[in-house]
Amino acid sequence: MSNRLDQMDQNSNSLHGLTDQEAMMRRAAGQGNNVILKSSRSYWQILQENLFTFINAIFFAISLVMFLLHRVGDAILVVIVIFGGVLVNIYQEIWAKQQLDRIALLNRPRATVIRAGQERELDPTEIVLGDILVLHPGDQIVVDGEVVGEGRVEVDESLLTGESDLVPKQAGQPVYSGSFCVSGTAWYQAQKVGTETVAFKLMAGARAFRRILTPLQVEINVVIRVFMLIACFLWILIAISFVSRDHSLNDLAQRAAVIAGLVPAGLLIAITLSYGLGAVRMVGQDVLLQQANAVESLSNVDTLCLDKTGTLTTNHLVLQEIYPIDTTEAIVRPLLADYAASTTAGNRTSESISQALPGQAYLPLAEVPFSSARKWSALALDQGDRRGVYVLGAPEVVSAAISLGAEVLEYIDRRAAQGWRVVLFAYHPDPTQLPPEPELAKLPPNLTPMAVLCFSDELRPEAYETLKGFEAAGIEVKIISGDNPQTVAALAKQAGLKETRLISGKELEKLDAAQFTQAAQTHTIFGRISPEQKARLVMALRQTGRYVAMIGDGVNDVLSLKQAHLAIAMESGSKATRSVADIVLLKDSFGALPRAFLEGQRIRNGIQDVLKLFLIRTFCVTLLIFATAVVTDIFPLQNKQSAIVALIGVGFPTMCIPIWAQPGILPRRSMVRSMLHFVIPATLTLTMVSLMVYLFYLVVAVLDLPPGSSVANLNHAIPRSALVTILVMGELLLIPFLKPPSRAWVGGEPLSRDWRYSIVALVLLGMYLLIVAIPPLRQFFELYPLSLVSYIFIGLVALEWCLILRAIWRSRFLDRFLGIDLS
Amino acid sequence: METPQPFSSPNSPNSPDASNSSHSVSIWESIAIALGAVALVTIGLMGLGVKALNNAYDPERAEAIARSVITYTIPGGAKGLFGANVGGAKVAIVASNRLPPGVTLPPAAAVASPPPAIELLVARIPVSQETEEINPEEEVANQFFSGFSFSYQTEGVFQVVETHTTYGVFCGVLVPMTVQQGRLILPDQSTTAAAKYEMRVDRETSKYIAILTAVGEDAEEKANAVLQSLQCQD
Repeated sequence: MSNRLDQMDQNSNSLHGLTDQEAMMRRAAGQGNNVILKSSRSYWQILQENLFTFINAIFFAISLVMFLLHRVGDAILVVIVIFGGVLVNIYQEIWAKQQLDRIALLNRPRATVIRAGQERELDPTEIVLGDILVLHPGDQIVVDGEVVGEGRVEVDESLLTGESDLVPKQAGQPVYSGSFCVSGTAWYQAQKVGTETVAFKLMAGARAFRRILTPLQVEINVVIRVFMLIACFLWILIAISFVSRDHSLNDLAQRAAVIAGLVPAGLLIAITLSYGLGAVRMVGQDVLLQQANAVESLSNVDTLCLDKTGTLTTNHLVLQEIYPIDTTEAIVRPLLADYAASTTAGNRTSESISQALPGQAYLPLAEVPFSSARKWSALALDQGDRRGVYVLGAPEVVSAAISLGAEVLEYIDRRAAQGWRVVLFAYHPDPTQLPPEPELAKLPPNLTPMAVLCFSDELRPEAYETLKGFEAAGIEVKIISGDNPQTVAALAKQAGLKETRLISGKELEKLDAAQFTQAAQTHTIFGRISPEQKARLVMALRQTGRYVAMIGDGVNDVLSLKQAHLAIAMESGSKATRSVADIVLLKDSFGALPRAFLEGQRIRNGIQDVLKLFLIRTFCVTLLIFATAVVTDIFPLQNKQSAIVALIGVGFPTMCIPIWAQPGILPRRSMVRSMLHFVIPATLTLTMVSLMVYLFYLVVAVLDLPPGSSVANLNHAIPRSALVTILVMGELLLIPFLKPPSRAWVGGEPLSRDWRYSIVALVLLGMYLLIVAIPPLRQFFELYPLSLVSYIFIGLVALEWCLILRAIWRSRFLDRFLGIDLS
Repeated sequence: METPQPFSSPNSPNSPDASNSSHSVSIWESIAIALGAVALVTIGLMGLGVKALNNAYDPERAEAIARSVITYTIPGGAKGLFGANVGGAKVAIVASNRLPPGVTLPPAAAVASPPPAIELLVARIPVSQETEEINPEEEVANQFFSGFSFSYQTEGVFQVVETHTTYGVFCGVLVPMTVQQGRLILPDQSTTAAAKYEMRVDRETSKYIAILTAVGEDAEEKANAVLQSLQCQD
């Protein structure tokens, strides 16, 4: 390693870099890179997405109309209930953003800058115009510039151009921020910094280009849009009724407000709260979230693709054995040592050789850095007795230019089957056989094999438990590696993977698209895979409907990470990999994945429970609006009454549910479909019971009509108050059904034994009764004080409804009636 | 750091305890639920019935309903007997406070109380309802009660001596009035003079009905006084 640095020093002698004073002066002159690429949503985005929504505009217009109609109470309620929720949401999102930004700040990539002739690891914000930066494989290019000096690199600009081919760069050629160095080493001079860089102009770093919604988010969006359509339909009906009937503007505004309340905008609040809580819970669990939905996304994964090296293994290669071919180990060792010392674009293999065999560095005539696509590297030396081309690469690839004996081949197979990384070292006496341009490089013909090198890699201690857990959770694990398939299979077996159906990159090359997809599905170990093939495999798996997560660490994983639904990177991996990842496993904690997976399940369960309550309330009130229109020609609720049903029945409970939600395996199918067993019977029966109670108290109101009054003078507050009471009681009774604290409540959902939800329901019932009992509150919500007997009667009706509902759930009446399995 | 058990949880639906498939609904539970529902419906309907009856037999309410249909003056004052306000139709019965002259309250064991000196039934029924519910060929009083009057419904006690139709002003309109005169057998088996007057009129969308019964030797005189005082309300 020290030799390599000496080499670089030689190259960078002319690249002295700026002095500290020059850097300081340039920063003072406004030429600093004082821009932090956004790692999360901006404050403005948070405000915009929470405030300026269609449904908020409707609520705002309604409150304005209410205000003009001198119904100040209604106007204030709309502002408090709706915009209060929005404010809470904004506060939580800003808090979560600050937490995530703080963590991201600690983990964001640093740049290697030459200052006063010395290499320094600096924060990208400390870079100034004219700085000389060093690029190694896996480094992210953080500012725009131009390659200087003699180095050569291959750069992945796919995040900027969408083109996956690597672009060679040498002196005089531009490099752009947002791209990554894949192979080679070079220096570049910062020519554009801060807001002038390409990455900044593209709004953010590589992560901003990935925004994949999880199935949960997609379904919630669908639910909200469906209710928005229903609301629009009802608004049109209300507008028509305003013209065709003798309704006042106040009636119109009241009804419009109740209908606006049908749109479950609170779902978005619940989902944001869940994601925020999830992110915070992951702090300290060695999991860095780079996308808000990443943890929840993990809970949807059914196929987990991972690279062997650095993921299953620690990527600490140790040279175990040298098998000389037609020569002696004593001759091979110094050659290998000098080769490793002279290479300027090092990788793990050359580093482990250097560690085992320190050598002397030579200035190469030409160099082909290792790349996962080529699977070999080479040096052309012509100094002293080191003359010729030295090649190090995968035996299958290098042996194309060599004929190996049966004994050597048997040795290679044996060692690969043992789980060792096997590499072939070969030689050609003519150094001119290697062209100076790496992109034109081909293996020299007629190479002389010199040795087979065997490296061991350490299996991560937590790998066995983690893979076993994934298997138990029904997640299929596929190992996709650039290594020999036999080596990968051997390590996979050691890691406890039962299914090891192998296929190599060469075999995949021969397959057509359909066969390729079939192979991607049926095989579990993919060896000698190029980065492009890796990305194709992930894409093929996605196209078959699987939810794919990809774990990678090397720059060769970037393409496939970008194709996956969920990209996970190791902290020790390349900066490029970390930048495109949705989740970074800090301290390479592979074992943190189960915790993140459980957290994802918890988030998903919490949101699903919240969604159930929202769906029942919304469908129930919608059906009641239609039902009362048919039966009585009266609108069932006033704005404030609808608000109290929404607040106590759904709003407050949904603040607790995401916090207390528990992990648990969810059925792998549409979330809405999986909720039908709970939602449909509850909605239909609650609507029916509520309608009956409403009609009953409508008759009571008719009977209570003062002698001289007509039906037009009916006190609608009586049936409406009864309706609010039964809806609130019904919704609160749904909470113990949602999280049954005891067997008595099991019917729609499995036993949870968690009493907290039921206690919350009781507290909220007490709160409702308090509102009813305190005259100013009761009057504000336009509730009529029913008699004690009436409240007891409605309570008994609610309990009877519970028994009926439980019986329907337990007997699966609806499933049998519809002839489908709703659970 | 402790490695958690991956992908499972005590509350996971996979745990045997969590299954809800073991819960079935027994026939007894079904019967109990059905009985509970029936009981609640019965209680509800009974509650409504009791409330309706209480309202109907509330004297003040009955009198107020009567006055909201037709104003009247009953000599010696009146109290409400029955009042109903259902679906836009209003029916109320008021009676004088006094017994007919010479009539005494029978002993507690007697079958029925003697009728009040004056009893007035007033009704306002929306025309659409009235046409469906009241047969114009039928005697109007029979739609509301059997017997002589609401408070004296024993059949056959009113022995009609003369029936004739005369014309009178009712709600500002000259309408035919059916008059029945005869003898009324009282609970103590004594008889006294009695008269029944029936008239109705269609006004705009409502039909107004008045049935007046008078008991006593001065029945006709008292009836005429009441009839003179009737004023329909809109």
